[in-house]
Amino acid sequence: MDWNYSHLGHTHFWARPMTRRTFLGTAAIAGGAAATAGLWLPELVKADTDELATVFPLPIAGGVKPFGIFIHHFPPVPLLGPGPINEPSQITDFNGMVGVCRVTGAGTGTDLGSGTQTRLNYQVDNGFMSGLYVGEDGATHHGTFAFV
Amino acid sequence: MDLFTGAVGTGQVHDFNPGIRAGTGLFWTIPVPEQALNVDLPNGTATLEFDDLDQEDYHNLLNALQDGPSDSASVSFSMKWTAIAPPMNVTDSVHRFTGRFMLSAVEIAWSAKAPGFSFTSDPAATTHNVRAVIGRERNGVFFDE
Repeated sequence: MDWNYSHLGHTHFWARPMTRRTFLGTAAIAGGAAATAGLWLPELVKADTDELATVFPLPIAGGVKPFGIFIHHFPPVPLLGPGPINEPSQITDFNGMVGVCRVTGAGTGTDLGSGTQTRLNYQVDNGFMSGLYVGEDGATHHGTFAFV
Repeated sequence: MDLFTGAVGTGQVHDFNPGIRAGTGLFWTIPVPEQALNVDLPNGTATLEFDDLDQEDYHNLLNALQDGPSDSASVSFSMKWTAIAPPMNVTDSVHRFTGRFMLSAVEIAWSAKAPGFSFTSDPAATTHNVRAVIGRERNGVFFDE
């Protein structure tokens, strides 16, 4: 699996080797999911494994252009229509459970050099997708993804 | 996950995200262990939890979207979606997604670590909700099933 997010000037954390155990385990899950794609419609996810998806999904086709830069993402607000919600998923060719949010709040930042504490405000747009998806390899897989 | 010295949108000092995938443009989305997520749609809840999830700190949104300089960072969080409205069927033929969704409330407690800096949010009960949704979705090749 190509873990490269290829950013300028820095190397990303997930350029890590994939273990044989992880690959084989997830491949088995993917094969089972593909074989039962039409039937796989659970309403619950409570996994007892730490398996990672080994093939990346593709992004949704649509999106918005903050600062004039197109991104494959619809923020939860403002509502863009025609439906009552914007598309929650970040990935396309997807059939599964999804969640997304925009929340705000406050907290305390600490300068670890001086110990100075500062009150800061936050905004968090997070979400998840878990289910069947067609990956970059064109095959159907099962996986869980976080939008962070 | 964004931090501001002023009101949200003003004076951004940190922007924690995993980056945009080169080649496809997959936006701030990473594979995660299935254990991190628990979803119970019949009861309208979902939880997502991470401890020391590796991220980049791009410091502000524009720099993040331009894939500018960043620092290695990590975030930890525990968040819970709880449905606050009945399920609704939604089909958006413009954006080609369909599903059954519930407007929800989210509570989150989170923290972050970056070089020379740490952040701890106020307790989860203080979370202010702008918009949250959980549900089941089909899109792309699964849209017409």
